[in-house]
Amino acid sequence: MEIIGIILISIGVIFSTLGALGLIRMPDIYNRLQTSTKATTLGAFSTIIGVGFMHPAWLIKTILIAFFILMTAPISSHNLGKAAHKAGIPLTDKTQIDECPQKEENK
Amino acid sequence: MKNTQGMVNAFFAFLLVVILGIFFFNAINQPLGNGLVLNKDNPDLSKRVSIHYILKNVHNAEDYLAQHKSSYFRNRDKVKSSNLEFGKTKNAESGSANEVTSIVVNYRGFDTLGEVTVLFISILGLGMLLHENKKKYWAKPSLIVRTGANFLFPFIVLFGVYVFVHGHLTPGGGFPGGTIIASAALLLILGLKDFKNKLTMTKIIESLAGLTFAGLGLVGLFTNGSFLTNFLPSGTMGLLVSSGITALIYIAVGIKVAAELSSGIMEMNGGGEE
Repeated sequence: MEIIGIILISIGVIFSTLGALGLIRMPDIYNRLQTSTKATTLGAFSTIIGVGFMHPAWLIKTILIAFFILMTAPISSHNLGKAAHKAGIPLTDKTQIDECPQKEENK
Repeated sequence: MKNTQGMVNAFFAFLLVVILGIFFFNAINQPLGNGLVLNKDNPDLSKRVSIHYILKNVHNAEDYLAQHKSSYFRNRDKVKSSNLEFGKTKNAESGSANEVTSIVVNYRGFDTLGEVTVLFISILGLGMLLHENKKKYWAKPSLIVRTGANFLFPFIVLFGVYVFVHGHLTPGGGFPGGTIIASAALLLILGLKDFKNKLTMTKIIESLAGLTFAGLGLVGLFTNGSFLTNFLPSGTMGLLVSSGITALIYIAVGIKVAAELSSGIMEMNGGGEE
């Protein structure tokens, strides 16, 4: 039980580190959103589930928390990305395809 | 006609000031009890109020005392009243298992009433500034946001209610729980196509919750002689129904904060009715 917990927490820590690295490394807001969302979803998710495995009494609560994170974080980052695109924040030069239409109808 | 109404309003305001003044001077004139007086030369630290609240762990209290006596109770060997146990101790001074709640709602309940008033006044100022603004700042939400809002709204409200109903047992309480519910209202504004501001409803709910808070305090004043006294039995510590009026006050605070912050968000969304 504890070994599973430690493995999960290690995965979470690795993903959080990669997410933090990506925030510095990536060129524009869209790529940064992508990396930071991975950090919040998989990093926080597996850390919390790992804590639940290490203390089995908390497992149900931790699963609930992880479920909430899994539901909310992608939606919020999706909306942030859409808002940034709508506000006209430019993409990097290396971006090849922009499939999101520039102007959407407001109704 | 307008003048008479102004006179009536001024009369009620004056009456309110007089009543509050009577309470205030009554409270000042009360003699100090001998419960909280410390002898400065030779303090008996075991008589402090906080000594009852240092030890509320779920483990065996005496083992804990024996282990940590040197660090926590250096000069206080004769601590007997600290044998508080989760789920067993009955009729503690303040029955709530969360120390912060004991202090915020029980010992400093009047301070919390003031905090709630501060929040109320700030939301009132926000409403006065934004009420004329009829423009709706609304953009079409994408399918993902709409689905997420519809799915998550009941869960977020449930979680907020849980936080303030369990305010006397677990970390959290009225203010965080109310804020969580207000965030659910914000999610609805973001995600729903035809959201209508319901400012009257939020104001009624908010006023009722505030009245509940003040009314509980007044009941304490008339039964036990001081404002916001815990006049109900405090019960077994750690159960849901325990700690007297602390739980009720936190529920009232939670509902009030939720209604207030929701109305603030609604005013920012577009102001005005409809």
